Amino acid sequence: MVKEGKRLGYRIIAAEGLNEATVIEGVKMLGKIVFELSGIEEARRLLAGSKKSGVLVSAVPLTVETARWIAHDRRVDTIVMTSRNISIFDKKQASVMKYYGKPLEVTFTEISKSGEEIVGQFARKLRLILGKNIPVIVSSGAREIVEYQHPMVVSSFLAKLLGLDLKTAMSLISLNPYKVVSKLGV
Amino acid sequence: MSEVEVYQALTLLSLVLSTVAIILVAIILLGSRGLLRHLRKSLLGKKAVKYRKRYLAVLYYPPGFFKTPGELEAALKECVRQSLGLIYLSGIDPRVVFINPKESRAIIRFNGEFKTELLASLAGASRLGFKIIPIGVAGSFKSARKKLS
Repeated sequence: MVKEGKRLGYRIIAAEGLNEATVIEGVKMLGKIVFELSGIEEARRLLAGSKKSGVLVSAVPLTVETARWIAHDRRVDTIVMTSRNISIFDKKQASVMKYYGKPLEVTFTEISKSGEEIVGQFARKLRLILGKNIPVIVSSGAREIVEYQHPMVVSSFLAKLLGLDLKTAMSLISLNPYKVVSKLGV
Repeated sequence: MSEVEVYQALTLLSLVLSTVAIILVAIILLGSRGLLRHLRKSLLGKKAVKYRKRYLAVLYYPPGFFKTPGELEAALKECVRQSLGLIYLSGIDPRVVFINPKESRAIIRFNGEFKTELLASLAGASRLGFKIIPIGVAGSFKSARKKLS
């Protein structure tokens, strides 16, 4: 996967299962932890001690109150929107995320592999979030090499889906993730 | 010749001269290409965009998945059709003009107007079990070959 990432032109890759930042074959590797949180108590318990140097913490809130709560938790770097929790991301959640400057993360494989109904929902929610000037990050979410797409393909797909220009679409996979990574101090 | 007739003749002459002047000014103004194009667009609508051939140099994965140009072209067309539909497929008109199965490289000719659409549709290839990695878009087959090497 690292070799493939390098071939596709990625310079920094965050992957689950790594506990610290390393450099493999010239590519900077970061760790990533994804928590599925169904309640505030569970969030408190799982997030305690989870913040480490060189490790990104992402949270998938499954309830509205968890989503509101983690929006202002500094241990959480990104809030992940999936097809399971898409209904949580409404105008109020967007306002909270904007207030605390919390970026939204979506996985590209989930968008590209879903049916037209889910893709439509993703497009509507992403337009709402982008309209509020909240940073959006599109991660690959790849588990196999076939799912790992070239940045040109991803940005073109997003540009067409969301009606963005190519530069803005590219910032969802380059500039916005870099801002989050640079906050980790790596 | 009475005084009235002289005035009538002079009026007629001035009319003719002013008409000639208007025509001359119009010819001078319309002579510039930009203005002509603008007038043509406003009167006749937007001119149909010319089909500009572009060449996309690509790598494909898994290695050696496609052996012939026909296999890759059929898979690519299916991918575009599933992602964007028949109208876009006919617009993009993707053709595989070169394939190297040993190195898993190929060159796809397409309608340059639909560059973003073609690239966007490549995301759907993973559903069909393969992946196309774009290397670059070139204006000629020769420069596309250079990008591949």
